[in-house]
Amino acid sequence: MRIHTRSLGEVDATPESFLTLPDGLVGYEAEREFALVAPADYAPFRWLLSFSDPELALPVLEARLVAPDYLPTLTNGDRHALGAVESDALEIYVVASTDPAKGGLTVNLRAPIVVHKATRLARQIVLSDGRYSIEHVVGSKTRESTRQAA
Amino acid sequence: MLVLGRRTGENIRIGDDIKVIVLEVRGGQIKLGIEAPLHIQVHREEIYERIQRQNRRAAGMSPSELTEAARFLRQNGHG
Repeated sequence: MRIHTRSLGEVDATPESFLTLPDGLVGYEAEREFALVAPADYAPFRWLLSFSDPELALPVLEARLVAPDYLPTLTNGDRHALGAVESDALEIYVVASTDPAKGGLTVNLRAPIVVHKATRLARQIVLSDGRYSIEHVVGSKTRESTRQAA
Repeated sequence: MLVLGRRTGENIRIGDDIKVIVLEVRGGQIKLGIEAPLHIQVHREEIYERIQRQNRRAAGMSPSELTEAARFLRQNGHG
């Protein structure tokens, strides 16, 4: 299937890359159907592409690449939404962006995108653990100081 | 906006299946307990807004910014 995006142009996506996010993404709740693709030009980035909104192409990274000790805790609600029983059925991605204020590449460790490998259901979960930063600078330590823990 | 006064230990019901419980009121801060079905996501608003902004910023990244960031990651052993 060919997906039209503003930033990447036309992208080919195979059915194995398709994902359903029943609750959408934070700020894009209406978008449910996505593909997770990995164009070689942008490795190690992958792109989460909306089927219906050409503006919605999110660069993501496998969490383990940038935060080896990262271990988000899923709530029962998250597991229920994903149909997940075992953690090893899941892949965890973090949304990447550049933060002008921080002057570099940041990833959102507070709201990872969790993908159930078998069912292809996914969800952007919001962790209640305030130690994980929304703008974690890649290359710095995984956990912020407890400054924002409230 | 509906405005309701509640004391510690009292609840508010929203629909059939959401309950908000006032657990503690102290010094300008209020502690709430929220019981909701598993599919309802409950967030602090400011956290939700920051995540929304980060998602929007990510969606707004240009391919050239991404190419540069990808090079940075590969050079630093993240690739």
